[in-house]
Amino acid sequence: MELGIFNNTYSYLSEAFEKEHLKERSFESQSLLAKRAEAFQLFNLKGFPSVKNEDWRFTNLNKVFKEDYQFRKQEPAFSSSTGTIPGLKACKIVLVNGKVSPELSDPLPEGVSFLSTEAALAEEAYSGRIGAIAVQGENAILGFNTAFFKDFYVLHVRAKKLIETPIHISHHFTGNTEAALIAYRLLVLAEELSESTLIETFHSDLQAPVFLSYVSEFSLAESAVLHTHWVNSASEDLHLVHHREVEQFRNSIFNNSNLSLGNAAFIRNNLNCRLKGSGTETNLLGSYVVNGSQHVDNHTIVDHQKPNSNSMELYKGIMLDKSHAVFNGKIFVQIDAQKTNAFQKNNNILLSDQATINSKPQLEIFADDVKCSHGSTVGQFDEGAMFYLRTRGISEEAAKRMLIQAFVAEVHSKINISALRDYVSQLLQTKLERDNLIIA
Amino acid sequence: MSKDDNLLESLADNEYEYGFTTDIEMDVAPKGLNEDTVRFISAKKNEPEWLLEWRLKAFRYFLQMKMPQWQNFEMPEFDFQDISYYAAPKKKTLKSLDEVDPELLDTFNKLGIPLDEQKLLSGVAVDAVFDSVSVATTFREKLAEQGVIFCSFGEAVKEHPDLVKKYLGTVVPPGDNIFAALNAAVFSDGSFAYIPKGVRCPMELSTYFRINAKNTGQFERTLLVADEGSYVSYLEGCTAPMRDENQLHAAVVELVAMDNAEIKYSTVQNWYPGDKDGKGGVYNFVTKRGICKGNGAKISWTQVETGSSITWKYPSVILKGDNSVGEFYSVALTRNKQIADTGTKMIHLGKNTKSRIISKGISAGNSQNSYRGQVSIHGNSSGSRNFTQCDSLLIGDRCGAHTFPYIENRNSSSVVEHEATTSKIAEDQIFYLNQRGIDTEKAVALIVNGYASEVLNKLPMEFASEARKLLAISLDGSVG
Repeated sequence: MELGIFNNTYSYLSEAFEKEHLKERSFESQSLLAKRAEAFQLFNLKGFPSVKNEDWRFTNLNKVFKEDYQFRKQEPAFSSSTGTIPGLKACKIVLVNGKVSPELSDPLPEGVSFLSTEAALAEEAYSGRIGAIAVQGENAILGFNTAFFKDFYVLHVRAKKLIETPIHISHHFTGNTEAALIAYRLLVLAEELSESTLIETFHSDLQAPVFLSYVSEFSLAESAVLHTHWVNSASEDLHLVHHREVEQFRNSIFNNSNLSLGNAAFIRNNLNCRLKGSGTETNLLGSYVVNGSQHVDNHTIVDHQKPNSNSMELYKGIMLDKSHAVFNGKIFVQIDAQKTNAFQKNNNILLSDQATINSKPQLEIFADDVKCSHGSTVGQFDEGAMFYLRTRGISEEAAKRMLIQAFVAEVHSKINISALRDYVSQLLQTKLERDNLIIA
Repeated sequence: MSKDDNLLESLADNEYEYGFTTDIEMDVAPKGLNEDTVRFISAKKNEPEWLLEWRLKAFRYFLQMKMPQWQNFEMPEFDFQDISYYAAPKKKTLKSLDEVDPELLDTFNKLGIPLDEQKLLSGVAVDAVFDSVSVATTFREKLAEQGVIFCSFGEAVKEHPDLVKKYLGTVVPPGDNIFAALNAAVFSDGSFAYIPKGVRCPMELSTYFRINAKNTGQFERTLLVADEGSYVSYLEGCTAPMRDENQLHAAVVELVAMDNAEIKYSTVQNWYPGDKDGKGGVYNFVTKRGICKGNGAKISWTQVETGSSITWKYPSVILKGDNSVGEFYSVALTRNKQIADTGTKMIHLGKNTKSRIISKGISAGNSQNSYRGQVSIHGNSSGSRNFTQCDSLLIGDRCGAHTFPYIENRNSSSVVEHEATTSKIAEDQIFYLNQRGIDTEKAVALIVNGYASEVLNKLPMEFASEARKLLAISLDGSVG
């Protein structure tokens, strides 16, 4: 019990589950309702995880719960369509506060279907997989989402389809009244021999805080290829706990990039990849540039369960002001997973004495014929590079900006969609221009 | 593959060399743990009132504490009531070595630790701890000429109470963790050394620990104080007989280094590791910590861990003084069902502090070997530097190697680097050696020794050769 946070939001949720929430969900199947009840029981018992929980040791959710959150009774109006990526040719799906907005969304190419809540839940093939990939176990925050999610989306890529146009899910958050809770989830099914690209971006124009619980479950069938990009450019008032669980079967390839470049006050990303087939490939990229009192926490797990899999992970981060960044990367190599190659790197630059970085790369290896390594560094810019730029008459501030761009370019340059790459670089520049980089 | 199997078999079959017992008249406290046990031990040792108070305070901490849950191995059930907390060879208060029980001298001779000063060639001063008490300390007079104090903890309490009182529990407070609290409550003896200002200790100081009695735990405490500008190198070795039940060893080591002092602390740990089915063996739960109190101080830990069924220890350094240096060099070899969870903590508080961590894990058989470490650079610790390298070598497909580094940095002018690798012995290396007529078993021993040499080279010379031998023997019955 002592591992939990039991605050007003918790009390509100405890009460609301049966009184309000279940009443709205009467259209759902019995099996899903049973799943929700089970998940609620876990959440009710454990509450939100506190820092006494090893996985939340450096990330204090109490920072988020300065306000008491409630689900909104009424959705605020939304009209403007921000968050377009200039020059990007993509099929756009717009979610506003977790609700799909059909009029803002594009039609999808053949071979891909996108279903939203009622249609998705009506099909047992989809609703039955809720919580089957992201198994809740003892994870109370996952339980919270399963119990309370309001919307459920499915992106289904059919077998042997090559989808050339990227699918762009644009998440918007708006509202200016009370502190709001939002909870929804996404299921992505990539059938065998398919190849597709999913871009997710986060935007907000909030005047009041939002606590968002977003769970996405990915299943990559045999020889499926999926590229995903996750770009967060939301404003301060967004507090996000994102859990992504990926299962990969034989010879599938999963490429993910996770970029936290906005000003959201609190971001927690869990990215767990379970490699359930042999011959899989997993590439995880990440960057975070944090300032002010931002808190960004990236937890990743790469779990090699079968032989002959390769995984590569590269996360780079820059901390300014009073920000706090956390990186925890776990690599598991299970007893059968011989011939595994697993690499992980986390580089950080700390630009302020008030900022904190907690990095915990972790290897747990139970097979002997493997090559695994990880590296983690925390440091500053190369003085030589700085000096070179200064001798060319570039101001300290401009030089720093350049070096920051160059530092994260190792990650950003690996994004293979040029319009997205430009967008990311623009985001970073805007962020850096806002800040005073010279630290007294 | 068959060669590999042979190797593994011989690995598993290799017997523990120091598994004999000594038949000697013992003074053993009844089993059980309560305030009376603490009072009993204190009374046995004629301790002053303040120390008894201190023990009782620690015991109260112990009662409030729970067993930790964060380890990644299955924690055995502990019955703290089923152990005897005091066992000492009878015949006490020795004037000189001649009065030491010949059976005891024999035991230490068998272990290769001659206590007879005449025969000592190596020039190492030894404090020999047998079960709960120190039986002999050699070269005391010679050390005293330089002002170096080296004696058993019990004697130190009587002869140098001010020093003990000043430093006891300042680095590892009694409430630090459950085993430290237990140790503080029931510690029976240990070693104490004080190196005065500006003295370079003329010889290596060494403690040799031996568990002999049945159903006992060993709880010793070492306190080492190096005053300004002094230098000391300290060695520690340990063995225990083969027994079917597990024995608990919960020691505390505290090091204090003042301005510009240097302490080099080396351990070769070879407690009984249990048999190949994991039966018996010593639980080695030790709290070791040093503090670089003064500017420019240096503490260096070197450890070779081959024994114990479970090892759980993190020799740490608190870098408080500016420009102080902390080092940790470790080789941990596990086989059969051994578990080693070891690493270090480097806490950077002072400016321009530097730390270096080199950890080499070797796991064979069904064993689990973990590195768990923390590097923490605080806000005021500007210009600080850490480098960590932890490598794991796997021999056989049923063992595990794990790495849990915690890296925390709060200072923008400090640099932390960490790297870790895990792999098996490369086949091309074995092939190369085979080609030169070296058989696979010897090749493995050679490669492991080469792999660990970065750490072994940090050991004092006498210990280094012993450690190399120990590694070879632990690895392979037919080699070495």
